[in-house]
Amino acid sequence: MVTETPKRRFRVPSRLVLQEWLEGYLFASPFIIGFLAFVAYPMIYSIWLSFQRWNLLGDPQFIGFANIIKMFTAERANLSLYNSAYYTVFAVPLQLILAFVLALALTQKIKFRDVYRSGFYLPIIVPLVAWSVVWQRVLHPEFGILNNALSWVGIPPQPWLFDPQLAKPAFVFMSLWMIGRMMVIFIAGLGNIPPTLMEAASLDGASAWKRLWHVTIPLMSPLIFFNAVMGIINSFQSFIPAKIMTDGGPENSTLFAVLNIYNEGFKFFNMGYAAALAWEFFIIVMLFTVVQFYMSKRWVYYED
Amino acid sequence: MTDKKSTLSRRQFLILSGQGALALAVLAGCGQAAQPAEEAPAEEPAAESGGEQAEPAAAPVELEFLAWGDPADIEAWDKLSSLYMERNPNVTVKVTSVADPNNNFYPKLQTAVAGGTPPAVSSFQGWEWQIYADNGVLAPIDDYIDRDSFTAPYPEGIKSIEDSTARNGKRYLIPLQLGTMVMFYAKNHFDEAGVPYPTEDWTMEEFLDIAQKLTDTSGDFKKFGMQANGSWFRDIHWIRSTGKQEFDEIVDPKKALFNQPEIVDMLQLMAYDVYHTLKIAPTPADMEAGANAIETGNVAMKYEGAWFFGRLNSPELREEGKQIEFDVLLMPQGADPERPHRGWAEGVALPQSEKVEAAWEFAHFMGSEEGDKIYAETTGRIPNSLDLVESFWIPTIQERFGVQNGQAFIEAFKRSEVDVVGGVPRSKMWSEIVKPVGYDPMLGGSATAAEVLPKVDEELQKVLDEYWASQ
Repeated sequence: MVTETPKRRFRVPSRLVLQEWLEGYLFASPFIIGFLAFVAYPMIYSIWLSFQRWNLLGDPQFIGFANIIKMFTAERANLSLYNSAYYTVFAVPLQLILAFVLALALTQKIKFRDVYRSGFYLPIIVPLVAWSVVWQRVLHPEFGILNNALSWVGIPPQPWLFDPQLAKPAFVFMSLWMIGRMMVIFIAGLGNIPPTLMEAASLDGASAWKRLWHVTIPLMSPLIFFNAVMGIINSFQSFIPAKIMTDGGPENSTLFAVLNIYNEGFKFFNMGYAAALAWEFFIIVMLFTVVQFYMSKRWVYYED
Repeated sequence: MTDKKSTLSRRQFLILSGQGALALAVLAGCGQAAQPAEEAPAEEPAAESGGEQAEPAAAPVELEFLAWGDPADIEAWDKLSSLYMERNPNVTVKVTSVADPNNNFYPKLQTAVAGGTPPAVSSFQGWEWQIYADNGVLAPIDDYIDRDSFTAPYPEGIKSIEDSTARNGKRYLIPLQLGTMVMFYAKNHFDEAGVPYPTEDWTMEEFLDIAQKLTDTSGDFKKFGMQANGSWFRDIHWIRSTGKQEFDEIVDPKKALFNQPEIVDMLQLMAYDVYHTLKIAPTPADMEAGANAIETGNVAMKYEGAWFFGRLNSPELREEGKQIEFDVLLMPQGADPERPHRGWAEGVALPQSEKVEAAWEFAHFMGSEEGDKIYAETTGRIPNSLDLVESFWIPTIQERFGVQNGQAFIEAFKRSEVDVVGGVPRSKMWSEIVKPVGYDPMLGGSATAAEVLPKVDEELQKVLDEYWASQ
């Protein structure tokens, strides 16, 4: 005998349920109002603005797809995406590796371990503007301590922020100063690895390297994935150091995508074009993130 | 047994708190929106000087003054606004000085305009306000000028003042200073090298010869003969000295003409050779973090303006023994027999609002003889009338900054012309095209003027064509 599942009928919520809904929305209303006013509305407005020419002074003028076409053909726009991609491709893997190695070191039982952990985390709480100014001095071609240190090993002074070939590597190098956040997350993850697994691996004769490669890293893969996603998003959004230190120079070699959007909007007053660039950038970062999530199925290990 | 009806449950308490907080937030927001800005009623025009006591019954007025935040100016704005408020107790002047104004001033102003909250009075350079006037943002001031007979800052016959204060037959800018630039030279470099000071009849060749003689970068303390400015708008002087100009017209240009042989040669010299071939000027890398500059004692000559006096010599620097003895003179004679110098007026304009009358009174005070003397004395900048320059400013700068040849500024201004003014701001042309396409490669030594200037012309022409197509 086949039993039919009775169709669900729409039932008007009871007064109690409605009251609960109302209370829930009431508590969530500050966030909802703020989200609609300061996130959703500006995003929708910026889509409309992408099809306008507007210099902030007069009224916006509809120009069709001109901004979209310019976005794909303008040399500066494409260069800014290349610069951001270059920075991301080199900076993020280096940050991940260094943060992971530091985390491994700082989970060992060593003296003053907490001091080292605090020290490596400190750059995170320094305002970006402040450390940009500091690094500008560190990288000074004549008086900078980096060139001073290099001179000890016979390397002549380098015009770090004044040579288009060296400026981006200098920024990649600087980004390693900010690995504290990744490191702290890795330390938390390493602390959650069951010691019994490591003991079992040891008993089975696994060397330290094999334990690392076959036990630690797979168990840490969700956090590595998280740090990779956040690292890529953050490095794509890099703006303040380039704005403060080089303003996109020399010769646009550090003109990152967000800086280009800022310049188009607030320096050249091409607000419509800047809005189009912002949406292009958003879509690219979203695509990157989706691809990462898709690829994560192949290498990220979840216990469940 | 507890009567549950009479006690408030935790859930009910939380709900009531949330409702109360939301209600308070809404009331606070409505309260702010409901408060109108206080405005002066339409009264009979105030007295001519603009600084006299307002009528006792005048309603309170608050004026926002968005001010150029150069270190030389901030003290002046404070003095002027304080004095004006003392004499006009019903007026509150709120001065907002924008730090790093070369990068931040116009974005801040433009954002305020777009947001519907323009200031009542705003600083403007003589070549940047035109686009605001074209878009109806600024109030013309011809009627006020006529009513108050405020004619001293607008002498007839000086085209650079006319071009930088008026547009399409209407006046918009109230000058607080005249702008021109001359050659500053640090005397100690000449004394140490045994080179005579330059004289007013010097030529381009003599200038380069002197610069080379005064350059010595062999030791720990580098010495350079000149400090190049590394920007198009400063190099405009050198361009015009060739007898050519980089546009068909310098007021409302239609055609970009950078790629002329004389201009190519001059920019090759000033934006490339002085750094990389002749090596008589510190490179941008050398000057990073303020090093190797004329004010650090490393450079003998620099093309600069009156605002720079205080960086070299001032009563404060003399007290510390850190002054640099300097003087000024006209720029070297180039191919153009007229020997043009850059010149412009700079000051304030009045965004359209219901406070234009009150804003005019304050701006008029600042531009009056009394106000302008305060401004010029505090900042070292050139006053807004040539009479004041001669009678007041030249003796003042001699005493305060040690400038002996202040007359050079008058001579420079009399033969001055504006940079370029029109519907496409000079700053947009510079930051969007001339700098990244032209100057950055030249300053970096990776391209010559002949290689980059054709592209500069091409890109500028697109912007100009786009502008004129929209008119």
